[in-house]
Amino acid sequence: MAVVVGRPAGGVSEVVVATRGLGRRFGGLQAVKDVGLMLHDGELRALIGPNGAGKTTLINLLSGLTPASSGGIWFRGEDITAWPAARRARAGIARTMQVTAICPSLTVFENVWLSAQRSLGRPPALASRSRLPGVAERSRECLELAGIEAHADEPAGSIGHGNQRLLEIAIALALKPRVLLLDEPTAGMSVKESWEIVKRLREIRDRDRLTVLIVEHDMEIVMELAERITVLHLGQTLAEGSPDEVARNTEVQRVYLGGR
Amino acid sequence: MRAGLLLLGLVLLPAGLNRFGHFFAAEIFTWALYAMGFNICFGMAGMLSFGHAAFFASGAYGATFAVLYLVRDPWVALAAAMVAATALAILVGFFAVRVVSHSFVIITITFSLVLLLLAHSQKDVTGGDDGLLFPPLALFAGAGPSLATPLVAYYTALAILAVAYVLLWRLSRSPLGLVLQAVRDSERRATLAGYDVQRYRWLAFVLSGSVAGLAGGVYAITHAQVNAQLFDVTVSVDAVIWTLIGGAGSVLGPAIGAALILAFTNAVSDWIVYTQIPVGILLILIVIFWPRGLSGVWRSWSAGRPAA
Repeated sequence: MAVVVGRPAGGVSEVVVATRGLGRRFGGLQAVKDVGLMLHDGELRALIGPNGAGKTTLINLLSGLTPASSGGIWFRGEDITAWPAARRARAGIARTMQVTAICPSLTVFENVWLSAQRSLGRPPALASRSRLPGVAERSRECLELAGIEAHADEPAGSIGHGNQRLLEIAIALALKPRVLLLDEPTAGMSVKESWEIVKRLREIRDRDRLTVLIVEHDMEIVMELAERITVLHLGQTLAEGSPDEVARNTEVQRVYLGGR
Repeated sequence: MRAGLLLLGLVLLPAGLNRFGHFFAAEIFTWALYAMGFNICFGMAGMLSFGHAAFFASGAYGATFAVLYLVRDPWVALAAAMVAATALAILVGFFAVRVVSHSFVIITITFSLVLLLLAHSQKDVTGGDDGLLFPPLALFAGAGPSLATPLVAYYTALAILAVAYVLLWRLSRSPLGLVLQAVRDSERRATLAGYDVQRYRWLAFVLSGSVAGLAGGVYAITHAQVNAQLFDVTVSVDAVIWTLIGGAGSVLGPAIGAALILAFTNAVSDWIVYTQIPVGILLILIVIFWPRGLSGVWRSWSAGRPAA
């Protein structure tokens, strides 16, 4: 049973991502069940819920790392339910992982360069790397957005954990995405670093008019950052609305304070 | 620069060698080419194949069949070697790249064992252990010096090795090469950056197989004979050993490994029957103490010094 409160901010903005009856079963476990999610163009949405609520599974379903067991996913009106992850990334759905996924032996710059060159829409060739128009510029720009340009030439595996999280965001941005899915981007970071990320995320969103869906545990960050919040519980949408509406929702309070 | 000096040295080297030296060096160049081809799959794309003998041998047989049934031209034979090995790699790769790590090893071994058994059982076609012989070829379709002359074999094998080195070096620094390294480093990251990982694995496997096949072709035209033993698992294992010793992280590493081990084996074979034992001990020591191989040692040694 889903209690949906509030309405999309900004009235008539385009729906970028929509799911209908989306579900995923792992053996006997229904990790995600009958989720109908609508992300509007340019919105910053937080996805919250207790541990095991199905947040990461939902992100995996949207990015294509996990195939859906039931229901469908639409991206800008197109049914992408059957698309593999790489194709979704090329189409403009970028994501970061909860456990950092980077190429440790490549340099920071090369990590970003790879997705920047993919956003050209051409398969990689034997041409000299420096001759691809705009790729190096795009890569540097994304490193600067993430604030890690000073580490450009270091092996990605050797930079600090916080910088690796930022690198993942830079890699995702280099794809020129329409939608950015962030699975706990502040995990394992200090409070100061977390707020730094939040600040940058909002700048980036405003600048590129990205649609952002962020999984975040820190309620203070969620309340400050998100325009709308979707609450998952036991794989289902429990509530959805503005931060105030969600905070006042008795179902949400019961789940977060009183267990099940 | 360094590679240029190395090439210059190798061009001048025959002056200091006798006929056996020329022949043996040509042999080393052939196996060095094979090891470099293997390393596209292993070092660049991160797939440990234990079946590359199949590509070397199918290249050698492809070249031999071209000589016996088509035209007595070594360059046509080399083209046939690459076509045969590439076709085989497309087929094997189609299945192999769907799995990773242990399963990949098992699939590649299995394919090469099937081909080994097939090569031994079809004696009419392959000649079995006795193999197939053909009269030595002239360098240019019936004209020019004979490839049976060790010095001619030396320069032919060296020229092909040098061209292959330049192309592979170029590949390793190209956008495509970077994608292959990304696939090796993190399959997930490559996928999320929009690359279809299996497709790039397949491409690397096929490129790797065709270079190994080219090496088989060089073997055939410089030996003027091939046999079913080329399909043996030991040939596949050699590529792994040479690459681990020489270092999988550079284009030249596997070639260095092949050269050192072949030269070492040749030097001690008069006194030691089981040369695998010292080579095996060396391999263990290198894997433990210098996991990035000799080229890795060389690299950190030269990086640790002030720029000269």
